[in-house]
Amino acid sequence: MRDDTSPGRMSRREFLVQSARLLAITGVGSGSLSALVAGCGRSRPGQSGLRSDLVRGSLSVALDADVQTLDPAMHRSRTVEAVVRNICDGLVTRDADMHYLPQLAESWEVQADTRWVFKLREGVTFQDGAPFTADDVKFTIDRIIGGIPGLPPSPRKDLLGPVAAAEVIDTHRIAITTEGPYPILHKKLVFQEICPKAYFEKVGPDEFAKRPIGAGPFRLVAWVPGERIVMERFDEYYGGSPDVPPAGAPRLAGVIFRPLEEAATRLVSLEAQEVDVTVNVPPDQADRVDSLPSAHLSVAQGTRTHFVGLSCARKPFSDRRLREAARWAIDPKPIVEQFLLGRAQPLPGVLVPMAFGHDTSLPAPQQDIARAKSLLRQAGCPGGLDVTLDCEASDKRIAEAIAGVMSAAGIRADVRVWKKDNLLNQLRRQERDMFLTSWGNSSLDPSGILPVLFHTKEEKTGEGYANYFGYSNPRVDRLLREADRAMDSEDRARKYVEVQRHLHEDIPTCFHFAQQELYGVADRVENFAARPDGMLPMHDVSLAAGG
Amino acid sequence: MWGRFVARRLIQLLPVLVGVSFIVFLTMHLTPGDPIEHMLGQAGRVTQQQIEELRAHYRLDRPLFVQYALFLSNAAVGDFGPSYSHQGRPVGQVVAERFPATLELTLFAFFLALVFAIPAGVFAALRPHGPVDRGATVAALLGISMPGFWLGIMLMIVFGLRLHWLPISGRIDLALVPHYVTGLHTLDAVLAGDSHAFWSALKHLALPGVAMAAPMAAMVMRMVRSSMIGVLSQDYVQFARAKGLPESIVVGKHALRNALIPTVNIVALQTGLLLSGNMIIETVFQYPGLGKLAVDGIGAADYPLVQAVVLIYAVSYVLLNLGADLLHAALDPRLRLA
Repeated sequence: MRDDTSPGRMSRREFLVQSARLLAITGVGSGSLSALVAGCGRSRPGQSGLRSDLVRGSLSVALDADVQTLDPAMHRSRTVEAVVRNICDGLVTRDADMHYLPQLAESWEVQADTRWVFKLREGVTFQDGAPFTADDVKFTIDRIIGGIPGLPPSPRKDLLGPVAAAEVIDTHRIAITTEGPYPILHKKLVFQEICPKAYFEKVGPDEFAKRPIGAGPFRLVAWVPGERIVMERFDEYYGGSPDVPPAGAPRLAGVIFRPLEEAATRLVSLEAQEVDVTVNVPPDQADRVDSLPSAHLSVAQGTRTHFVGLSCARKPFSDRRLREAARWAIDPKPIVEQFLLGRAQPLPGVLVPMAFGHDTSLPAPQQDIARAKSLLRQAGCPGGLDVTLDCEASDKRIAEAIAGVMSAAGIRADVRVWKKDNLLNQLRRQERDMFLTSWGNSSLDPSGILPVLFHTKEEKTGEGYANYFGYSNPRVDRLLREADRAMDSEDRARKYVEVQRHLHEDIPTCFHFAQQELYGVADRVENFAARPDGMLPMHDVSLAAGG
Repeated sequence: MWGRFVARRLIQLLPVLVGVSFIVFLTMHLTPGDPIEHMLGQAGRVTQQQIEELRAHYRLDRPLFVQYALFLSNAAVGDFGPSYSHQGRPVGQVVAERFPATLELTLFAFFLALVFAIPAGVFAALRPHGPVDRGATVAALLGISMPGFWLGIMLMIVFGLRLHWLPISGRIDLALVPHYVTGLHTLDAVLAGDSHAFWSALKHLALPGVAMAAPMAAMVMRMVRSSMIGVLSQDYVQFARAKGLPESIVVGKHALRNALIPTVNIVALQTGLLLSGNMIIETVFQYPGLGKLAVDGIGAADYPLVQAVVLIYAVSYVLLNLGADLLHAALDPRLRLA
């Protein structure tokens, strides 16, 4: 840590003045003291003990969650990933429109379906000056798939699916082999950042988790747990992917991430210009943020789908007619407009429109009370149906709204609220009939959501890990397995479309919607845009002069 | 005599700690929440076997009383186990990172409360039902009745958002790289002779400090006032005045010292409340201390972490009371330590 200037001492006079200010602030002072207080502005950088250069050109970002590690391989947190991604680049990246582009890799080719050869960018250095080579890529992959004895298992292993091995061909070429064809390897590599082998081996895993380095645009300066993560521009940065212009040195002097979990604190901090960007603006505050004199709202379509799940294995919804009745009973419009204030999009299925293989032919969800009632009668429930709708605390209002609109069709739902982990526990054991839950799929590939939710649950392999519905359709299972291995992307897309049609027919889920990602952004910030995947790449962002 | 008294009180601390840890352990396990589910979140394809392994790794598969016994035997040697919500890092380490922040805030609020409460109480007592007394009474009523989270948000809006005088959250200017000696930013800045860092740290303490100090200041003020009124009507005060002593000596030396004796207990109790009240204040101000750590820990069903923080509260409560008793004896020669 640099200390640019010599420490100053406080004069007696200064002490008295400051004490008087403090007295005034704490409520005792009035009249003459308040005149003194008026001079007590926000803290002035540029004096002793501080990195004034860094802070003046830095952007500060309010995060909605704290980070527990900065090791790219040892977390399952989107927040950690968004932070670390500024320190460490990956082989592959995505632009703001979610197109996959090479980053540290220059190009790749698939040989014989199970062997991918990546050509690495040359002339790239890590933040300790060491050159980036194929050894680092091998080390990174090995660590995640568990190929390095003595290191704890990585919670990101399943994100690399059937990757079996990484083999160095030469300094700038590496081959990754998979068990069976794995058409989406390049898409999955977006979630893995490259770590420098030599540095990691020098400092060890514990120290690496606190002070990681990478080949990314910013270098970690300080991490004060619970308080802030400070990064400065890495001047020898190779410039990033030329496919995501502008390539070149980062424009900001630094970035400061601050965990501010309370939404109210984040918004007040944005308004008081203590932070420049805040993630996760609550929908009911979105208009207010947009009307601030010094900030605006930045919106992206989210990748997390919320839905009502219906148990196909338990009464009453084991009767398909009742599942269909539930679908006709729900009117998505008033819920999305009144309770989500239009900050969400109703969907016909669990895939968001920008996902690969999204079926555009499915009808938009709508309410039809007469059909719902007729289906209830056919299923032997002429007097209506009493059910329990389970949800977690944060979804309570929406669940109540769903119960409200369904009652017109004679489905009377009793809303029961749980703590999130308790609900998930019961869902995984398939113990609930009707529930409101969600699944995030920032890969935007169906393989990140369809097999997890709708493959028949298999304890051994982990397939259908989140099949909360007891749903099992052998045809769907087969299509999912085939799509998983289909190297021809059109063929793959066709298979996923067929799966979606089966799901629409079988109705394990209904009332799907995806909420928008809402960010509050200070007007002085240039070139920052909300992204569907929640990443916060700061390489191209800059601050307006004089801001 | 003093040594034996202190030793006996410290030994009495043990059953208190065991009792507290038992209650916390039980309530935490009765509270809905599953640390393993929390840890996994949406970790893609997880098999039941992996879940069971994790449960076994953290010994969550053992019967409750076995878990408690394991916890006690490890805690006895200072090992509180791994924190579920901090990558399995030792709880001691996680707590040690956050403790200085809470200590600093608590000390600041403590001194702030006393600096206002004692003079206010004395002046109020000098002219009961006079304007000063009425003003102080209203302030005390507000201080006691305003909920901390509300006061915190009001302070934020007024002094942070509208007036821009004070920072809303954090511990020190983002530009400042804190000197790290004790972890108390103000003290470290003084040790380093860095006035800018000192004022920055102090300003960051101001809003949470005031929100925390308000109820304590109110209670202490009321206590000082009433005991001061009682003392001022005593014969020895009349005698001191009759002797021709200046009023400042009568009030400041003869009356105040005696009036402070009953105040000491209130101060100790209130300081204990300061510590436990910091959960709310730290959450409102997103202040990275023990209170916020515990609140986050409860959300994540992080049993070992919550246990450790509550035990720290319990120990400090007991020690504060012990300190009050000793101070009491020092102030009042008629009292004997028994």
